[in-house]
Order: sequence, then structure tokens, then C-alpha cells
Amino acid sequence: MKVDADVIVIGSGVMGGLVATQLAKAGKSVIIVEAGPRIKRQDIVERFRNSPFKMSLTNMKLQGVGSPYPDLPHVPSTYGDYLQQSGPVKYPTKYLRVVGGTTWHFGSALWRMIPNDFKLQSLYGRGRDWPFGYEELEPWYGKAEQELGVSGMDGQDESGHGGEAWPPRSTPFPMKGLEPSYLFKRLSELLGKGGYNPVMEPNGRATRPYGQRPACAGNNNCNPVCPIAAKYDGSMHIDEAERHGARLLDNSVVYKIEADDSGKISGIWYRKPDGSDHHLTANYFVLAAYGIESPKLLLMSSSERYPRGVANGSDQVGRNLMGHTGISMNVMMNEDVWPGQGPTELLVYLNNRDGDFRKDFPSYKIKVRNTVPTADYAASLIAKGVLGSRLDEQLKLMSARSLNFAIDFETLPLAENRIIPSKNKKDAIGLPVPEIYYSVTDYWHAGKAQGLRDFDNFAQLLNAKISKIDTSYQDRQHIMGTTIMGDNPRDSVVNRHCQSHDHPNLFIAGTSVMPSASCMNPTLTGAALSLRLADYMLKTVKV
Amino acid sequence: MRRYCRSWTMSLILMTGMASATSPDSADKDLIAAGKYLATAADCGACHSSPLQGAPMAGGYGIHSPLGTIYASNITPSKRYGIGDYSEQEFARAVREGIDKHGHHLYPAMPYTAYNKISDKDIHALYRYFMQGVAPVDVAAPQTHLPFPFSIRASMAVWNLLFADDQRFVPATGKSAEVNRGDYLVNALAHCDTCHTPRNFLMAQQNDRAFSGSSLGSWYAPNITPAQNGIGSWSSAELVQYLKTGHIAKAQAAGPMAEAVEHSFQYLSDTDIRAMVAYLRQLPVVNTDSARPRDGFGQASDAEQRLRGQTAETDAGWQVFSGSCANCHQPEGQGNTRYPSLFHNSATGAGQPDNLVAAILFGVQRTVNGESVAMPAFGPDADFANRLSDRQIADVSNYVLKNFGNPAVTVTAERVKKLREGGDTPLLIKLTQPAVLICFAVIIVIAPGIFFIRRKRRLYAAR
Amino acid sequence: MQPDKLSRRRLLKGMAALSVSALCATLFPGRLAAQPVASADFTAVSEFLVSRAVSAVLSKRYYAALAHHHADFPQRLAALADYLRAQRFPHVDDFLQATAMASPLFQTASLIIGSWYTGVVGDGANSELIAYADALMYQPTRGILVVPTYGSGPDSWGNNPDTHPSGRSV
Repeated sequence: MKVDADVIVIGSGVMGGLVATQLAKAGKSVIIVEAGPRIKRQDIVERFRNSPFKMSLTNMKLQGVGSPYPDLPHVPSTYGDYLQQSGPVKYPTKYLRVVGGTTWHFGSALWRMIPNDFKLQSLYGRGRDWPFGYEELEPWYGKAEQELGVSGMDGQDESGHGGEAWPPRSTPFPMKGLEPSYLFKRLSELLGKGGYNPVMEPNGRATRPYGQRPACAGNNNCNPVCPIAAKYDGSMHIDEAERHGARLLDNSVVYKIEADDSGKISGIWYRKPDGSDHHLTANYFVLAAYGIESPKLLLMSSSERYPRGVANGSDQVGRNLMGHTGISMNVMMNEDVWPGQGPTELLVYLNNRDGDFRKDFPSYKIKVRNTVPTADYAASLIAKGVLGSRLDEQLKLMSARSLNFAIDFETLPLAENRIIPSKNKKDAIGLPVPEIYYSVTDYWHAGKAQGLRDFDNFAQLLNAKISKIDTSYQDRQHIMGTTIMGDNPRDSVVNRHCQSHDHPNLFIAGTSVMPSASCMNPTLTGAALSLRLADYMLKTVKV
Repeated sequence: MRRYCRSWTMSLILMTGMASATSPDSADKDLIAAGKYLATAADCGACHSSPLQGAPMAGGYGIHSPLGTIYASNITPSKRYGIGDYSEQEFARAVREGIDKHGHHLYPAMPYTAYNKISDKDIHALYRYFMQGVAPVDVAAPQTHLPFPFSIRASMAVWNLLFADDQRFVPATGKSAEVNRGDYLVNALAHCDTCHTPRNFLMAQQNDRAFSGSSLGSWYAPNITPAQNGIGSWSSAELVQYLKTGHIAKAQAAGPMAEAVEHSFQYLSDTDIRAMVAYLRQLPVVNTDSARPRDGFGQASDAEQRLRGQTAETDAGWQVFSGSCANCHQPEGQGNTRYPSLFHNSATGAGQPDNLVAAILFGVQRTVNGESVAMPAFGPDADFANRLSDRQIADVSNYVLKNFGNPAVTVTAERVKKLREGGDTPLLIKLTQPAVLICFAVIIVIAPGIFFIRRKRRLYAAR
Repeated sequence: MQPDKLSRRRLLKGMAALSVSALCATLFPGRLAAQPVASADFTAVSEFLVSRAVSAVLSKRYYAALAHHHADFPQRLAALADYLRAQRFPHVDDFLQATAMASPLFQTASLIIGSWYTGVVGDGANSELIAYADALMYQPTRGILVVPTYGSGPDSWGNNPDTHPSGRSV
């Protein structure tokens, strides 16, 4: 029977882009279906500059305003009231439904997980083990680093103990790491005295011309958008997939995945902004719509035969929602250290990334924001009546000395933490919006207590005054777990090849398959898994 | 038997050749090093080394000439696929006269008209370098197949008769040794005239207007005589720094000139660079365009002050400038220590917009002393998110020219398209298009034929 | 040129405009006591309040935006200008010290300064952005920090900006 394509990829972010590129290069016909529009970099940059509210993920005060990304009726912005919250802890994640996806605004931290992250249950009695270990994913991490163009410092102990290089790597970083700014150097010096081992984050900023990308030039605006395309974003792989013959359908919101009676996925339905519905068929399907929309779509795809939705024999779709819920601290240094130079993030502390303590409290990462919220400073000073030469002095002082430290905690996969399609709210094209129930446990609170101790230590070592501590369950926009991977079809959605247990011709690409969160930004892990599943599709399944 | 003998002999020769390649004595080493320097000055690698990943001098690089793609040959000492079995005389004939070992004419994409001037001593050093200082690569370079009538290589004999000299370099009397050295470097080795001297209808150089500027596909090689809008307003120090590094405050080497700096000039000695500069500075002035130096235009723009935040339709060119260019060149176009200012800039102040448009289309890439300079491309090679349309490039070019450059110069979207597709088609090509040739054939053959047939009929009728 | 006094020449110009309008007010008592003043006065007052020369282009735009968002802005400006003229403060700091924060004069000054510094006029959903890179709040750190989205160049950081202003790592 004739199908529209060999493979349909749902979602045009980094994960869908990577899979589509591998398949298209191998000569397969691929259709990528994206809910949102194509965007032009200069439009986003200009919209940011023109906005009276300068919002970024590091500076989110006003909800619903200021994101320079499109907010369209058929793809309402997650910066608005699109996401419904029903749990004790809000999960105000922010993802982008545009061609290229959420990497457009990500900070581009591209970390590997370390071997123990894969064995949380057997080592520490917490959460779940992965069905395989670090060694299995290691070569894919290397390939992902090449594809995304990662710059990093070889030889670091990423387990945070200040020891030998870790985790083990078979390939060096494709590009050398960014030069640390003065801030990072000075903090390393001061915090080093307290035994805190500085680690420089591997990331997606080019440090030399890489393909079309120029080297990072310190525009200091990674989030919301890199004006010069030095920072990786998923649209780069969509372009590459198209160059190899993949076809992209933008502004096409997939709302149903159809499975036939034999269990095979047969097609998808998508809706255009004008409300018209369209049908596509393929032999294989890859769901890559990130951790909220992917499970939502599966749950929306219910039918008589599949009352709980497609790929949901386990009833785990949408469940096990994990994030890197965190806390933060603002301090005022006694010396000028000048955040705001170079990339918006680089230096982190991982002293509590790994160890036996994970039985009692979670792995966490402490990072320092390398941005200066000048507009906030100016607004608050002026509101307090600070004008004249004092205004200039204070602006300079706050810019030079005010620092924000943030902690990202590993969270656990809980069945009750989930996303479901809302039963009572719909978007402008009649599709249910996501409803999220999220919570944290004592495990997280134990982590918080540890983190607060570190904050105190930091303030002392830096001879800085704490001006604010925020423990209000901050979200880090890292969505994981909602189509969880496992060997057992009764408690997992996909198998170790990211293939649905229930429908062998359906694969799920991205971070929603991760059985554990670690404390690390999950993009590189999702990318490695995506490249691995594409290879599996080509070599084993023989798509 | 003969074939067997020959291949056996060949392997002997090959082995000997290889043996000598692996152990030159010290006088040899100096000669090979001298040859390498000359090859750098003459920039053989610019064409004969494929930029993508080919081994040095192994050819395969397609030069997109207006006549078609000309593939540079393998000039490694490979016996089978390169010049390994060339004698020194055969090597000299190829380099200076454009005729290969088998008597085939080379196309003047190989600048043999310039290399003709190379001295015997230098030819000898070059020969030794190519035979012993370059690793043989046993891979064939693609053959060049130009469309008719340029496929007839023998036609080059006529062209050569008209336009090629056969004369070694002769130092000019009454000029200093430095100027003569510069003359030799510029004209025999670096062949600057092949880009910077305008060409006539048959695509030969107009040497009476030497170095006064010429189109080069999408780019423009400017006037480098001491005219005001040439190098007249440049100091010697500026010229030296420009050649050695590819940039000074008012000028940045891009496109083919960036390649020349990167592959050739950055490696030449300071003495040689100064000699080249001394020669250029005493060239006869050829005035083109305006009398105003190319870097004498423009000022910081107040557009950011006027237009920021305006919701009504504003200057389309400024919108592109702000979103795509100001990120590096800064809101007022002033640049900083790392990015060039767009005003007082020889590319924006030129009499033709070609280099401005080409830089936007294709970007600027230059690696000197291990440091890479990269302006991204915004044309067809750019990713969708960054790509500018012909209309947008025309708009932003006009904004830049009006605010920062020569306001008398304007750009249309059609012109951008032309430059994007490789520049103006030379008249010679236009006239040798199949359609045109057919018209000529009609005029030359068929029309007279019809005339004679009619005349015959009339005569016949009249009888 | 960084005047920290309300320059005499500007003041005289402004005074002339005010005098004429004051005269008009006397002749035509029906008119409002403080006339909408020309934006030349706004420039002079602004330069005094922010202790810098300001752009004529931006001055016009800010004035228009402020008048648009605050119906009584011209009168408030006139009142402040009168006050400044009468008191002859050498520097804005002197004005700030002498004026109660709650007073309308201080509030008008704050409104003007706030606009120039943040680049934004208006509140909430009605906010209007006039300047971004030119917003004065970025001036105190100019040369050390970029205005976000405008890059300083590859490898242009690493040094202590206070001791090695060139930026690049030594």
C-alpha cells in the first residue's frame, strides 16, 4: 500500500532534526511535521530588543509578556497561560513550538550523564535504573557532540571531585572550551579555598568557525536567542535534513496518531491554523515533540481499541514527569567581578554530583548566572528614589558585584507527577491544553537543605552579603520521563531502543524517555539517544 | 614483453624518484625551500590544492570561470596522475607558455602569461620543489570539459599569439632594486594583474590600464594604482599590514583576496612585502570612479535613535541591518576593536557595490597566523533562519551605502541575483552562447546561401 | 560636552519661550497658566537631570511619548523647569537633596530620568520602548559590559576589566 513517506517525524526540534537528518542521508523519504512556524533569527532578535520587558529564562518575573517567540492561536506560547497547573508544586516549564524547537532559547549546556546516573536504583535505592549503562551510550555521546558542535575542556572531572578526567571518553571535544571570563576565574580562586572544584560546562557555543557558525562573540544573550548563530539550535539540523531531501510541514499541529488493529501505527492527523484537518501515512513514526506535547499527543490518540491512548499499555505515558527543580541565591560581592562578559553561563560546581549521599539527598549542580539584569536594577533603583550620580554609581556597582547562584536538583520519577490533556480547557484550534501535576518529596527537601549550606559557604568564601534566597521550587525547563524507557512493558513506554513496547513501528526521540534525570541538562543525552535510535531504525529494523 | 619491461622500468624510476624524494642533501634542501617560497609567492596551491580536503598540489579544485568549470591538474610528482615524468624543460614550458608535456594548451586560468616572466633560476628551484618537496598523490584530477567553442584547446594558440609574451622578466633601468624586486613579485609570481587589470573583449588584459581594477565573478578587484580611489590615500605601513594580515582599520581582504593573503602573502618575508608595496606605489596613476578615497565616506548613523521601537513601517534596509548586522557591527555601524567599522571603509565607499554585496552573500573567511576571522554568509549557503533574500540584501546594501558608504552607489535585487550567480557574463561568453552561434551561422552561411539560390533562380527565370 | 549645570544659553532660550507664553497667559487669562513648552526645554531639563548631553532625536521622541502617556506632562515639565530655573542648582544631586521624594517636582524628575534610563515610557501593557542600546542605564558600564545582543568579539573577555580594560586575556 502506498504511504506518504517512509518515516514521519513529529516535531522539528533538535531530536526530530537529528533523526530526520540520519534517515534522509540514508535515502529514506522523511516528512517532518511541526506544529509551529519557521522563524527568522533577525526577527526574534529585533522583537527582543523592541520589547519593553526584557525577559529571559534567567530573569523571569512577568509571566506572559516579553518572549520574542511567536505566540499564535494554534501554538500558544508557554510563556503565557497555556500550561495548566494542578499540583502542589508548579511546573512552569517553557518550551518553544517553532521550527528548531526549544534549543532556540536554551542555554546550550551539553553535558554527558556519568556512569552512576544510569544506576540510581541499584546503587542508591532511589528511582529507576536505565536498561543499559554509560558504556552503551558513550559512542553516541561522541557523535552527538560532533553533530551539535560542542566546545568543552578535555580532562575535567565532571563528577565534581577534582580528580582525574571523568566520565571516560573515546573522543575529545570537537572544539576547545570557551575562555573563562574574569568572573569565573575569580570565583574559582575564592571558592577553591573552600574545596569547591570548578568545572567548566561543555556547551553548544562554537569557539571557532564550525560549519556555518561563527565563534561565540560574547553577545551575552544566549537566552532568549543567539543573534549570530554561534550557539547551536535545532533549526540547523532541520536545514540539513531538508538538504538531504526531507520535507518539512510547518504550522501543522499533529493531534492524533492512529494505530490499526494489528498494533501498527498507520498514520497521523494534523490540523492547520485555519482549522482544516489532514491525514498522512508512513511505515514508521518518530515522536519528537518534547516532554509535554509528546505524551499529550499519545494520550489524545485514544480510540475504542486504545482507550488510554496510543503506546500506553503500561499506563505510564505522561507519568514520571521529572525536572531539575531548584533554588537560588543573590549575593552582593565586596569587589568588582563583572558578570555579563562572554557566554551567559560556564562555571558550575559539582561537589555533590555523585556519591553515596544520593541514598539520602539528590545529586545537584550549583551554577552562577553570567548575566546582568540591568533593566531590573534600573527600575528598582529609580522606584526607590535613587537618581542623579548615585543612580550611575549604583548601576555600576550592582552590575559589577551582584551575583545569582542557582542550584539544579535531580528529581525522581513519580507516577503521580504527570501531564494529561486538560479536560476543560482547549486552545484556539480546539485541542486540549496540557495540565500538569507536579510535586517534590522529602528527598528533594533534603537536597535543598544541603544546597542552602553550600550557599552559606559560598557567601562566606566570597566575602559577599546574601541579598536574597529563593526556595520557591524554581523550574529549569528540563522536561524528562514522560514516556519512560525500560525493559518491562508493564512499567515503561519504550524499550531500550526507544521503540514503543506496544507499537514496533513507533519510536520516541528525546528526553521524555529518560528513566533518571541526573542533575544535568538533558539535551545531549536526548541527542545521543536520538542518534542511536536512528541507527537502530536503519541497521536493525531496516526502515 | 615490452609492456612488462616498461612497467618494470617505471617502477625502478619511481623507486629512484621516491628515494631521491626522501633524502636530499643540504644544498638540495635550501633549493627545495627556495622553491617552496616561490610556490607560495606564486600561490600555486590556491588552485592546485583542493580547499576541501585534498592533499597539497593534488588538483581537483574546480575554478568556476565564466567559460565553465576549469579543474586544476595534479601537479604532485605522481608519475601516473601528476607531473612526475616532466623534465625541467617540460615543467618550464607548462608554467611559462601554458603548454603541457603532451603539447596540449592550458587555459589561461593558469596564469602562464604572468609566470612567463619567471627567471630560469626560479624555475629551477620551483621544479626541484615540486619534484622533491611535494608528496606524490596517485589520484587523477577531473578532466576539464569546456563548452564549444572553448573546448578547442588549440584555439589557445591564436589567443597566445595575440596576447601572450614570451619574455623573461627584465628589471627596469633607473628603478631601485627594491622596486624591481617588487615588480618581479607582483608581475611574475603573485600575478596581481590577472585580477586587478581590466580585460578586453577577448578576455585578455588591458595593460595600458594596468592594475586599475576589474570584476572577478561576484567580487571586484579594486584599483591598486596610486589614484585617489586606489592606494593613493594609503600609507606604505597600511599597505604592508594589509598584505601581511588581510586587514587594517579601513580595509578588509575578502573573497579571492582573503585567499591570497591566507595562502600566500602572510608567508612572504617583510622585505618582499615592502618591495611589492614600493613597486605598487610608483605605478602610473590610472583614475577611475571618483577622486575621493574609497575610505573617505560615511559616519555613524543615528538610525537606531530614530527607528528603535517604532511600530509603524520603518526603513526596510535598517530593519535588516539592525537584526542581522548590528549584532557585530554595532548599532551605529561603528564596529569595535574586533569588527570593522562600516564607515571609512574601502568596501562600502567603493565605486561599485560588488564587494559589499558579495561579503553579505558569501561571508568573509580568513585565517592568518592561526587566527580565524569569520563573517557569516547570509546568501544561498546560509541556513534558512539566517538567510537574506535578494531584496533584503539590496535593501540593507542601500542602507549601508547611503549611511556609511558611497551614497551615489545603489543596488537592485536583480544586481544581487547577478552577483549571487557569479557576476556579469563576459561579452565573449554571451557571443559564444549556442543561440548566438546559431545566429552567426545563419548570417554567415545560410543567408548568403539563400541569396545565391535566389540569384540562381532569378537568372534561371530570366533565361 | 557634559554639562552638569542647566546651561545658561539653553536656559535663556527656554526662558524666552516661557516668557512669551507667560505673557500670553496674562493677555489671555482663559488659557492654562503653564503652557505646553517646546521640547527644547525638555532637552535642557533632561540634560540637567541625567548630567549628560542627550540626543536631540531621542529627546523629541521621549517628549512626545511622555506627553502622549501623561496628559499633564507638559505642565509638569514646565513646573519643574520653572523650579530649576528659580533655584539654580549647580548639579542634579543638589536638586535631589533639596526636594522631597513625595513632591510632584521630584516625581516629574523621576519620570523623566526613568524614561531616559530604561528607554521605556508608560506602564504595564501600555509600555512603549523608545530606546534599547541608547538607554542610559547601560552607560555606567559602557566599555566593560556589552549591551546584550551586541557582541564584543570572539575571545574578548578574560581580563579583569578594572585593571586591563582591553578585555582580552593577557
